[in-house]
Amino acid sequence: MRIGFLGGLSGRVSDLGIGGRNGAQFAVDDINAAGGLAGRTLELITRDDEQNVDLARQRLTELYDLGVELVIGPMTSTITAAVLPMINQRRVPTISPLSGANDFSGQDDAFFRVVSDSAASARQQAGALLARGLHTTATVADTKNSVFTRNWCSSVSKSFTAGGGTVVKSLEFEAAPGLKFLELAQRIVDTGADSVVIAASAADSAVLIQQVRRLGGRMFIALSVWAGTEELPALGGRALDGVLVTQFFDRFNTTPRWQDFVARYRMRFGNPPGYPALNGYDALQMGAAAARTAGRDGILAALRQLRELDGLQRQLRFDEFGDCLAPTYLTEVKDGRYVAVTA
Amino acid sequence: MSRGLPSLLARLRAQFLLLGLIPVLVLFAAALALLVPVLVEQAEARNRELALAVRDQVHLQLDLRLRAAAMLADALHNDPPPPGALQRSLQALLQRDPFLQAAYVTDVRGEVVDAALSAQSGRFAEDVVGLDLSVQPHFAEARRRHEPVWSDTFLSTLTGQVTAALAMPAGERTIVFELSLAALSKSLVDLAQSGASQVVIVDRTGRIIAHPDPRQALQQQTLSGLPLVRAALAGTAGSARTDRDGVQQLAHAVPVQPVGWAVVVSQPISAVMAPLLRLGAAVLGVLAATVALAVFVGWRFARRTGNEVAQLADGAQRVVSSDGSPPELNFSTREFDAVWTRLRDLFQQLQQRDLQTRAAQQDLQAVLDAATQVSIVAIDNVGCVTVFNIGAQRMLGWRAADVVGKLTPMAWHDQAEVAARGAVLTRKNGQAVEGVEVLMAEPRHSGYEVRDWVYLDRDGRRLDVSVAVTAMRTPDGELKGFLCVAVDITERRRAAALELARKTAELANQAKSDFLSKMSHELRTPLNAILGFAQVIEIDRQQPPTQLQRGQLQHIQRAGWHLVRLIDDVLDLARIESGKLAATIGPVDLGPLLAHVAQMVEPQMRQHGVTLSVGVAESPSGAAPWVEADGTRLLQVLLNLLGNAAKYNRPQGEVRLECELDGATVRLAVIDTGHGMTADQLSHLYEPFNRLGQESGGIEGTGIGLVITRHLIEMMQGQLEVHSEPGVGSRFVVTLPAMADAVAAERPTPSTFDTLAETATVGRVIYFEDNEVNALLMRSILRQRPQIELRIHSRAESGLRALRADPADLILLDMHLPDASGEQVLAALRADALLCRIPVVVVSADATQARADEMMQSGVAAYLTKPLVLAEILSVIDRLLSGAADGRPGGPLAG
Repeated sequence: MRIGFLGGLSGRVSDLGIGGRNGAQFAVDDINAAGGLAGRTLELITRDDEQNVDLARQRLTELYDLGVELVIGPMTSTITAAVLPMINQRRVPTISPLSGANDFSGQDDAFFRVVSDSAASARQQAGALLARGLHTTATVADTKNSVFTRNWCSSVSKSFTAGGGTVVKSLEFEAAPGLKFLELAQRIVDTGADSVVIAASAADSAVLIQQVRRLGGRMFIALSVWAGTEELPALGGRALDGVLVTQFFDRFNTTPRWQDFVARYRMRFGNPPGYPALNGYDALQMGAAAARTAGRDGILAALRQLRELDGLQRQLRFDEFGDCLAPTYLTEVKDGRYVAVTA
Repeated sequence: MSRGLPSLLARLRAQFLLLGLIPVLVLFAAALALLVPVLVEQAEARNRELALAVRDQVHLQLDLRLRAAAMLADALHNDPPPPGALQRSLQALLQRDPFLQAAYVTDVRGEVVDAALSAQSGRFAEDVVGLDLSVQPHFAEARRRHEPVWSDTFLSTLTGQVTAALAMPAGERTIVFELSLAALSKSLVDLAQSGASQVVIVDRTGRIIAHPDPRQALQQQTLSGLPLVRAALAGTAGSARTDRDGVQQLAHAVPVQPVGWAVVVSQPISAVMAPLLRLGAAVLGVLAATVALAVFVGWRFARRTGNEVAQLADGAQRVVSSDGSPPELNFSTREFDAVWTRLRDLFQQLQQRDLQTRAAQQDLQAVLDAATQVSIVAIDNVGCVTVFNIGAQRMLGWRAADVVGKLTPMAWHDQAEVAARGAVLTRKNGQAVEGVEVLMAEPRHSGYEVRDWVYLDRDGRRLDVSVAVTAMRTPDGELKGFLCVAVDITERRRAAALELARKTAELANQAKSDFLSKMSHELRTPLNAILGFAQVIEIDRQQPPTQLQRGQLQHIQRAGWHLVRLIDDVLDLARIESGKLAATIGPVDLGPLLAHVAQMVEPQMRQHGVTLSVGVAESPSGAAPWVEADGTRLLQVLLNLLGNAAKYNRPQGEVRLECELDGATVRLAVIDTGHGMTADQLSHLYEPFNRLGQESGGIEGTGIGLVITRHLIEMMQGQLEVHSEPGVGSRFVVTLPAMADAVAAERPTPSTFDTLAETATVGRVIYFEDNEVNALLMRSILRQRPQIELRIHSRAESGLRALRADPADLILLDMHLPDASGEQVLAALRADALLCRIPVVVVSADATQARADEMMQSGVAAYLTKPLVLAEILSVIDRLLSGAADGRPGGPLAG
């Protein structure tokens, strides 16, 4: 059984793609080691979209031409938004490990995901800011992944405003060559808000926070789930201390299954799994679960019938549209590490 | 292709393929066994060399940056640059080294104070000033150890490239370079261009950080699953076979220190084996061509062979279907030609036999049709008639159409006979046998039975038949019926009865002959005594008989000689009846013979008061004619005829003996003037012992003389005619073949018996005789010759012994001695040089002419029969002894 993987495997944000691919590959290997799917051996065919929408469409077509029955990916909402028409046209069930934008929710389509949409997570983050007694905030969105970042920022803003806070400024930038982080940091400082919500990649977030602090900005900083990678604490150094980061997964999970996965993953890939790997794994297992129960109507119908999945860390639930109802977790960076935060 | 058997063509083709492929496979296996280890070894060596070269290349790349950092560090440490100068220096470094992505100088806390970024990053140096690097492990490690430390590889957030960072302490400051490992990938591209080897560099976690395809490096595939890689990362170089993405590889890995990476060189096994495969392909090509050629040739051969076999089969089929003579076929190989030649011979022989069989069948049919005297009836298993031939129809009076399929042989068998036979078979077999089964029971078990039966034809006439019943079986041995062949043996049985009667009669006749012969012998011995002594007494001069006694002696002699003649006649008759009477035909001079006959019958004529006249018509030469006859038998004939003419004549009657030559025959006529015979008498004239009413006439006779006479005449190729007139007389005419004078042989003239007077013959005579009376008689006879010394021996042995002691001049020999036969004595005499010249005279009671001739031929001087005639024996003795006295050889015994 051929399964396609579409994600950014190169470039500055390839950490998502590489992690997702590793997780999916891990699941494929686990399933094959257990005898495959009803005797069928799974084969994962990967394609690098380089975080480029045109290239993504091209690579997805390649996967379709190879006869894949299921696609894991894309790894970002922007690419998802670009290829969603193709997905719904070809009706090849597609499960994204990440794409958390609200835009994809509530649709009877061929697209599924193992993450909740941004609304709930953003509401959680806004609540955390308000709980810290912060009354004003500014939002910063990387338009390179605008579908997610704008969604995230607007969701947080909406919840923050609903909670009595004031959004003083909504800033946007494009993480492209020529971007002057120092200037952007100055604009953030200039908002005068007592907090800022940044929806950008870990690397860009780290540099931006570094410059904000360098300019003397003392505002509370919150990062979207996008930035919650393993590298983030090291990238920003001490400047990141106290930064609130929403996580797709429970970094402090101690269940044997997760611990075993971490150990095996580390042994195989040399570093611990992050959320891309976890979600890549769960996404493929979701497809496999549907394939196991698939009748004459195929995997797509089975996915629509799927309501629960025993994920690596937690029980995933799905609504009638296949949208995932999974919690997110709040962490803070402290001394170059993540620490748990209670809402 | 009958019976699903593979064709010869297919089989030959398969064998050629097999023979062609086996050496190819063997050769290929041998090449594999020999070449594979060598190729693997060479590939490993190549991998090792390449890995070491790449490792050196990595060292070089790292050392270059390390030295650059060290130089900068020295400069910073020894001579702090003026503001802005450091930044320019960093910028200059990046411009010289395209793979250097970033260069930082941090303060003592680890925050960037000066930086230069590559243009590729699209970032600005001032954006990273203040960046805190202190939490990064390699930075902390370098500060702690005060020596340069390379970081783990990571994806640069600036460029997205796989990157390694170098932290170099420079006093309180620290220099950090970020080196894109694309530099390594680029160097691998150059290396990868040579051969099929693939070279990758993995970091200490096993992730690919350098790859000939730089994009592959970015994807950070891991090779940590390979034991070979894990061993290299642990510091041990080695070679192994690996499986990458389903492709078997031969790989070598060497560790790269101090960074803890590894260089992995691999090449697909298929590439390693490529030379072998090329060699194999070349060898295979050559062999395939060879095999193809062999197969082609084999196929051609097989096709031709198959065609020739097909041609053979076709030829045979044509012979079978056309029934004609085998066609001429041309084959390309001697063997097939020989097979066809042999087959042709066989076909021709078969056809010849077929023709013979048909001819035989036709012959058989003809025989069946022709066997009109043989009944041939075939019946089936239950006895119903299936064949009824013409012979059967004739024999039994049934038509085939009325019998075949309708009747059983019981229709013409005698039911009582069948029932009787059935009873026998029932007892024998222990189960009831009846009806037609009686005929079939024996043949059913033993195959055939030949048995005499009685058939009743349609008119009820009984036929004796011999029936052969033969079981007929199919070639499988299944009984299908019986063949009954019947021969009418009624006539044969009649003939057999006649034959039996004839044989019985012959046996009786033989017994009679033997009896008569014995009786003759036994009667002659006493008659010899009677007649001999009568003659001795009659001529005894010392005590001469009285006139009365002389007359009585003559009566004795007459009666005796009559008895002798009677015996001879009876014997002759017996011989005639048994066909044993033989004649010795030769020239006979009738002149002396007739004179002798006249002389001999003269006393008889005188007795009956009849006168005899002899008239001989002379031949042109003036002599009496000669005839071809047996003289003795002719004498007997004439004596008989003349005797009858005398006996049955009237007193003072006449008898004439006439002789005349009539062309090629001589007629001898005996004419009497007797009573003559009626026609009725004439018709019974030649019946033995029929005396034509004279049985009580007082004339002695036997009634067989004329029978013998006529037989003797016919034996001598002559004829006897009788003309008789009652009251006038009879005329008996003997016709014999005449003989020309010119060829008439000299015939000794019978001597007269003027020998009774005593003579002075001298000599010594030995007489072998066991009968005392005969011996006494001989002694009495030889008293007439007082000068002869007679010795008598009753046994052969004593006689021969006496002879050897004192040889005699003459031997008289009886043929029946107690200790030897006359022949044995003769043989003993002949074998003795002293005795073989003594003349021998046989004195025997066996009066048969054949016996006399036999002994004469064996060399005896004379053969005298008993009863002895004194005149004759004395004459013989005189003659022989006088010869001996004259010194002439006495006889031909020596011959």
